[in-house]
Formats: sequence, structure tokens, C-alpha cells
Amino acid sequence: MPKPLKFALVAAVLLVLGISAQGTVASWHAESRVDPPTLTTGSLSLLAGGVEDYQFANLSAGDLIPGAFTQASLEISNAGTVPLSYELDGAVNSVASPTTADQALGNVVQLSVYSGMDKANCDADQALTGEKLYTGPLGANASFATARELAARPGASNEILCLRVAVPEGATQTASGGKLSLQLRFSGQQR
Amino acid sequence: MKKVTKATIAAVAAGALLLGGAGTVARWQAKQTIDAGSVETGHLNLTTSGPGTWQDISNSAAPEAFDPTTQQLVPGDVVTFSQTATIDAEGKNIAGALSVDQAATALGNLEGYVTVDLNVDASAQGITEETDGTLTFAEPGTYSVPFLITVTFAEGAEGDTPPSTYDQELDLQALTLTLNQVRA
Repeated sequence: MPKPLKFALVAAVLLVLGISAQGTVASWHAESRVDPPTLTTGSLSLLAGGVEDYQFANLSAGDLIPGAFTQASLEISNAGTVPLSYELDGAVNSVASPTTADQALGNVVQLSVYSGMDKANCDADQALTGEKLYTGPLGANASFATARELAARPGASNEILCLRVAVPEGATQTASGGKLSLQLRFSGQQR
Repeated sequence: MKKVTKATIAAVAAGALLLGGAGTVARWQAKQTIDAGSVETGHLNLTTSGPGTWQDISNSAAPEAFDPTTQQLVPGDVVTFSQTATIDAEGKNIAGALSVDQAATALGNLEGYVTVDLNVDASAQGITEETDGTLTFAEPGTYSVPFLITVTFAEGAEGDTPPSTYDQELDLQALTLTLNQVRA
């Protein structure tokens, strides 16, 4: 047999042995999948009047004169799964293209927000009672002195606020005939 | 009798004798059964036992129990799940390496807000922590290796965590402990 052919055969045999040897490196292997129960995140949801964008029709009034007011109750509720704190985050006149009278009216009205007052009494324009949360002019910075807390259901997850918008006795004449479209903003934070 | 016939008979007789002689080539023989007993292979098992324990360690100074079936995570929460893995290794030259396959858990909407870590206790008796992070044992035995899963929901800044993270489920099934036999 020619010498090169012998070498070729030997090389082929060694290669086959090498491939076989690689295949025999089989060790044991075990796996354990960690399978704890599924986790779920909570949710945060602050509602006014039971919805996120409430049309507060009960507070509407016409022909308000100096010394008069309109007043209505508003339910604030926590529809999420975690306790939250909330506060008033601005009360502004959102009339589109306001006239001078609109602006003057927005500047003179006084907003009052109370908690703990009986709903029926509030809606019957009774005198404000309970805890005063805010009294002052409209403005983007209007806010409660301290944030209110609402538990998650089934705890104390809602409360009734009584809101009053009043035109002061000494309101300027320029506010006469003005329109006010009050936009109240409440913001909630996880507690 | 012809000479040729005599020769034929002689040849046949000689052949028959030769064939008969072959059957008589008998030598002594003895058999002995060797009883070496049986040989068994060992085994390499990795199991986890028990339901494990959840804890809310958001306030590390005062950990509380956490029930994932009734309680939910919110930003700022840190909860842990602890359990023990048991290595059962049998075999004269058995040795092994335990590693953590922390495949990316499907975080979905919680991506960027929640992190999941799986850590194995390297201080378990008979276990050595290698420089590459794997845990090894060098001889047969049963080893109890505690491990801890930590789920962290970043607190973020005020109003920073979007509502898309509400009511999300977090399945931790992708976390796997792997045990491989090794040869010295």
C-alpha cells in the first residue's frame, strides 16, 4: 500500500475516534424551574361624581348677583386598589375667549370647599359646616391646606365635599354679565 | 482382488481412521463463575419543596408577610420569595455546579419599572461559590441551598409611573436553577 494512502487511513481513523470521543462527554444535568405564584400590581383611580371627567351640573346657576351663591355636593371616591391621598389642584375659569366681564367675574368669585357636611344640607344651600378645606379666589394654585386621604375599597373609599361659589357683596361692576365656567381639578397620589 | 480395488479400500479405511481420530482430540476444561456483584449508577436530582415564603420588605426595618393572591404591588414596593432547593447527588465521583438561569422575565408594561433578581445562598454547607458565580459541590451528598427572588417596583418621582402599570400580572416562571455534573 502506498505510504500516503496509509497516512490518510490513519488520519481518518483518528478523526473518527476523535468525533466519537466528543460524543461520549455526556454528563448529568438537572433543572428546577422556580414557580412562585403570579404577582399583580395594584391600581390608582380617583373619581369625582363617580367618573373621571364629571360634568358638575348641580353647581350651575344663573343671574347670580353680589351677595348670592350657588352650592352643591360632590362625591370624591377612590376606585383603585390602593389607598390614596388627594387634593384640589387648581380651580380656574375655563370660559373660551373670555370677555372683560368674564375675567372680572372669575377674579371676584370666592370658592369654598368643605368636607363632613351632610349631603342633603349642602344641596339645600344650608350654611357651610364641617371641615373647611379651601376658601379663596379661583386660581391654578388653589389647593387644600392638607391632602385628604381615602382608603381602598372596602374601606372608607369616598367622601362628600360641599362646594360653594359666591359673588361677594362688593363685587366690581365690571363683573356684571360675566360668565363663569368653573373647572376644578383634583389630583390623587398613592399613599 | 485387483490391485486397484485393494488400494481404494485401503485409502477409504485410512480416511475413516483419520476422521475418527479427529473426534478424539479432547482436552481438559473447567468453568468458574465470578461473582463480582452488581454495579449501580448514582443520580443527580434538583428539587424544590414547599410553597415558599413571601415577604414585603418595602420597609426593611419592619418586614411584613405578603400574600400575592390577595395583595398587589404598587410603586415603591419590594417583595421577596424565599425557598430551598435540594441537591441529591449520589455516585463515587459525583460533583456538580449549580447556576442560575435568570432568563428575562416577561415584564410587559412593567418593563423599566420592575426588576426581578434571583440569588442563591452560597453559604450553604458543602457548597463553594466559584469566581464565575456558580455554586459547586465536590462529593456525594444532599445539599440544601436556599434561594431568594426579589421583586422591586421602583418608586419613581411623583406622577412618574403611568397608569399602564396598573393591574398587571407578573409571572416569574422564567427563573430556572440548573445543576450540571462536572468532572474534576
